[in-house]
Amino acid sequence: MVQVAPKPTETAVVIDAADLDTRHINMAVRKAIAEGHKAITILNPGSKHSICPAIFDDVDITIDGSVGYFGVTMGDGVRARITGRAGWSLAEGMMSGEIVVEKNSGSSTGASLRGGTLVVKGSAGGRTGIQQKGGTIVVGGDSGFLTGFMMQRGRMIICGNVGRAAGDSMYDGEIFVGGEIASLGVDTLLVQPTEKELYEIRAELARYGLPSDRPWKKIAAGKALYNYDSLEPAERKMML
Amino acid sequence: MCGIAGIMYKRGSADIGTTMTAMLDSLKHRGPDSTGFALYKPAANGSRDHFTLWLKWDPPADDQYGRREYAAAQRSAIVDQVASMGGRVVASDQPLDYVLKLDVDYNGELKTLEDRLESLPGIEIVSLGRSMELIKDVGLAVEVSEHYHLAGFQGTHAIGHTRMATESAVDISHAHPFWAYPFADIAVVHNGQITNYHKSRHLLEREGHRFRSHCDSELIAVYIADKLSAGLSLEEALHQSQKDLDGVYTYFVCTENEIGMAKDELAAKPLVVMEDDNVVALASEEVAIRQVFKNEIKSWDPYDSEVMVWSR
Repeated sequence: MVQVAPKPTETAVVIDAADLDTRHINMAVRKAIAEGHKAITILNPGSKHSICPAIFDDVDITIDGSVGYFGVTMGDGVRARITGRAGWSLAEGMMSGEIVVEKNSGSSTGASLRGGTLVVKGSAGGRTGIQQKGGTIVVGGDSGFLTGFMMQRGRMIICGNVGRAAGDSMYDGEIFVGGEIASLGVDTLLVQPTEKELYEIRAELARYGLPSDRPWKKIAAGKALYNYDSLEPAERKMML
Repeated sequence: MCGIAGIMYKRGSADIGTTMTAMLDSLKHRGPDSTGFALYKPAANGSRDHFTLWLKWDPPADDQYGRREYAAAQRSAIVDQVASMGGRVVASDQPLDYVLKLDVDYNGELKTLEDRLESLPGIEIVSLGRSMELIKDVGLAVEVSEHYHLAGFQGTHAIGHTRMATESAVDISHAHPFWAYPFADIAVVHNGQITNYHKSRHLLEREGHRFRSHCDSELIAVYIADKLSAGLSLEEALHQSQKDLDGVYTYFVCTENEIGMAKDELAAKPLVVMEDDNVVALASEEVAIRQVFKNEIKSWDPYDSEVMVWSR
């Protein structure tokens, strides 16, 4: 199991958020980063919204409790561990880094994820990984309606069941499901994962202490409705 | 966007007035226009003939009366009407000059009493119940709670609402919760939009149901009342509503001893549920539940098309 938060050192700082609003919590976090602290612990987050958005620094943040909507969004390099649960749009737009949630999360978990790894050890709400464009989303429990809706790239590993219309209108990317699929979305294919993929799933789950012995299935894009190429602008330039 | 919250103590009672005020205050960013509470206390002496009513009226149209004189006149007209129906007013309270709370002993036909009271000019029944008190007004949770003296209200369960009006007026008649005329003790709060409102309302009006607002949430209250009167259980009525009502919604229905919730098939409106051995708390956002439970809790988001009912 990966230890996200390092042991307290002289570069560690603790912020008690009990009497702070979102704005002042985030100002305190930015101040701590500017002062060179590498490990930040936030106590009593009280499920407040928009905690720790847009952190582009190489820091470890431990949030001791639960966050509300838009927890740790748009991060680039930040590593965060949330010991409670998260509300809607957790880690939306993350570019790189690692976010681990010990309990459940709300809808639109990892929306528009571009990179990095997002782990929810409990269950996620509906529309997990909507518009995912890269990175990896791991859900230890179930995921709801429209999981992977309009997914474009990246990987999703759902250990439990997924709700209706899984992978609906996905352009590309891959959704691995360890439990039942209530129904597949339009233009998806249900395929058997390869040995290499199964090896990677086992390795990924082992990192977070999640069991991987499940009858894995893979949802892939059917590409029947597919009118786009999957190249990033920089890649297209290289091809030409 | 609106905020909804509910709480049920599985045994005993608690200060649900203060609790709901704190929960709804934390949701005020979801809607600051009006706030409402449906608070449930054990029925007085277990009596089936004792009712609490909340009535409201619009301010006087001309300056013939001062507001206070008008309020006194309305009060006596209401009390007379109750007496003429064979009811007995046990107690009354008038926290503001456009509302009246009555405790009434009455053992006749409820709908007749309600229709006779609402036949008085400008009078609307906001709440009628053996154990329910439905209080709603324009303003934030703390303001409504203070004006109506809700702190210290001992009760067993409650639902509440903070409103961001999108499609109808901002006034008491359009504030949530909605009482499910003509049934005692049934209240509804709703976050969302019902898209087949006009068609569904038309069908219910043809059945003889009365609407006092143009808010789509009132439709849910009347719809549920209609289904319960047809003999469906609350859970069956909630499931049926998911087939009959189009739109995006999360709503709660509260009865004398139950709280039910239903979510639309797109799961478009938020809901967080927390339950332990003693209490069930539900709210649009977890931040509201945190007002009651500071310590770490186990909470989850129900999925699309889910229906849950808790009873005590």
